Amino acid sequence: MEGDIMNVGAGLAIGLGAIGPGIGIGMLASKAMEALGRNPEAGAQIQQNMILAIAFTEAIAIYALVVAIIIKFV
Amino acid sequence: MSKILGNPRSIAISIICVAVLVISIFGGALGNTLGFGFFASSLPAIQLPAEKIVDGFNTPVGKWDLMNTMVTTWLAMLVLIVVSLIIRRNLKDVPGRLQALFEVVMEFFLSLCEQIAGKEKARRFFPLVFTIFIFIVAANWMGVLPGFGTVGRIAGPEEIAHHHDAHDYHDPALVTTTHESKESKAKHHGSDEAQEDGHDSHLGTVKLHVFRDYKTIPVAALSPGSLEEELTFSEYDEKNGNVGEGKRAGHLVPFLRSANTDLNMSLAIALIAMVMVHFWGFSILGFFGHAGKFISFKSGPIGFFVGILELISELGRIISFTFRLFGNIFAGEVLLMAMAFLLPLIGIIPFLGLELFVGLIQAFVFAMLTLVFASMASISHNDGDHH
Amino acid sequence: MGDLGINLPGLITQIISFVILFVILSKVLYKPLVAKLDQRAEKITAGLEAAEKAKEEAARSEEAIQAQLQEARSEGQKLVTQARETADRFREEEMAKVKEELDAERSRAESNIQRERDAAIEELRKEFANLAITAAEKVVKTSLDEEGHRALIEGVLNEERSRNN
Repeated sequence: MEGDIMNVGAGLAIGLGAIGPGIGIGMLASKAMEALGRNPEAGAQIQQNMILAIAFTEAIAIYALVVAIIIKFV
Repeated sequence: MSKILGNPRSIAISIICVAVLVISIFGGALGNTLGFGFFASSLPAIQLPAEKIVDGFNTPVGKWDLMNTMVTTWLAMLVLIVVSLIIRRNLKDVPGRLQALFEVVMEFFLSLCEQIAGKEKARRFFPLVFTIFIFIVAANWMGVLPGFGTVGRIAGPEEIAHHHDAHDYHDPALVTTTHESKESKAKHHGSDEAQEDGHDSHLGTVKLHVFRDYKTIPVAALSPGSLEEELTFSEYDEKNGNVGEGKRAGHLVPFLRSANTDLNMSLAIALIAMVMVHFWGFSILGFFGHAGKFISFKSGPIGFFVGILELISELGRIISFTFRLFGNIFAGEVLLMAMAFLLPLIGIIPFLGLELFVGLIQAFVFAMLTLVFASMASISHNDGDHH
Repeated sequence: MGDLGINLPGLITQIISFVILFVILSKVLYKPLVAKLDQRAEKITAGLEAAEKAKEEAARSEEAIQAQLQEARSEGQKLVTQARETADRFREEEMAKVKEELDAERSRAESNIQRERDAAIEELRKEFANLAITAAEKVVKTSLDEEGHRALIEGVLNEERSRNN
């Protein structure tokens, strides 16, 4: 029983934790595409900054993943 | 259209495709619920830590065991070193295929370094960045080769129980084979089991797989058609460890497991990357120039607090480095296992492509972030604000 | 940490493995290959420079050739005009000489003709006088002497000549 609740908790942790970063990455990518469309010569610069920003956003999802892993396996 | 349909070769190919599709649907876990499932193997036990292949020796910092991810790491290293030796031996002005491939990738990364870090720092950052990229790509791509995660040795119930913190569990199969004073053993065994149940209630539901026991060759594999042959610990105890003639219960410990599904590996790379980033920061800006970013008293308490926050975010970078790589590759492995379990033969094919892509992207992201952090660390804070 | 699979011996092993790989790849792969890339880049820049230089050289020599050609053309032009001038002068000289000669010839001829005419006229007069004497002799055979007639005719003729001149 306890194990079942822990499984649910782990699922919720990663599931809820992925919502925010998911939206964030989507917004980032859309803005980057817009910028790319407006100013194609700056493609390299935009891509580099986009990857960096996505990495920072993704880090939040990674914290959720760490929590989920800890609940599930530790 | 009629030409395609009339061609006997295309007819044969489409018949084969349909047959494979039908076999994979009915033979897999899906067909198992309908009473078929002749082709499915059981979903392997998903385990976070790398598995031990051979017992090692004691060191001052703990017991060193040969892990399956270490073997893969060394294999990837071997491949890279051999390839680079071959390239070096045949170094030509007009490159061959292998050299041209490496030159293209290296040139891409060199220009990336120059773009991000500037011309003079690019040459300093490049070797680490490129090593990270190429090693992670090699390790990730090796992980989707056949044989990874499916061929290995069998870990017996005692070893599994040990992993679940049930250190005093005894395998009834091993106990009953020793014929000395059966009564007392049985009593002892019973008391152990009682103790066991008291300590670890979840051990009873852990599943064991049944493998063919080759006796002389200590190798097992996830074989097709073994889906129904799994049982829980309590069932195993009820059967007294007797799972059938020529068979053994336990978990498969693969000899080869994708290197980055081990947190040790990704943490090692992350640590090296961050240590080198700060080493470059110190060596380019000087000790106070770089340390001043984190501990500064100049701009009042707010500046001090921002510095502390930055210090914490450096720690966060290590964690996100580690778990990004680990999470992506581990999830990929689990995905591949699950697809092989649900739709054997064909279900895995698109996901193999996906894993190749994910492995490449993760390697690129890791290298790219190392490069960006390095270039950020090597410009002083005042420049950074204007950025 | 142990449950996550992180253990110090494993971590140290992986770190050492990665460092070994890093060192070996730096020595074996990057150094020669980057050197090769640099060398090639240098060669390409050198080649481009050489091409640029060659282009400039070609342009310069083209210019030189053009200039030479121009010079040759003007030289030729000059030679032709000179030749034409010489020819003209020569022709004029020649023509003048011929004309002079012709003039001289003509004036000589004219003077000859004059002289001959004068002589002829003189002769004719003499003849005419003789004829007239003869005729008059025949007319007035008897009455007059020859001396008287001659003087008379002579006087008439002189009168006539002074009137003519």
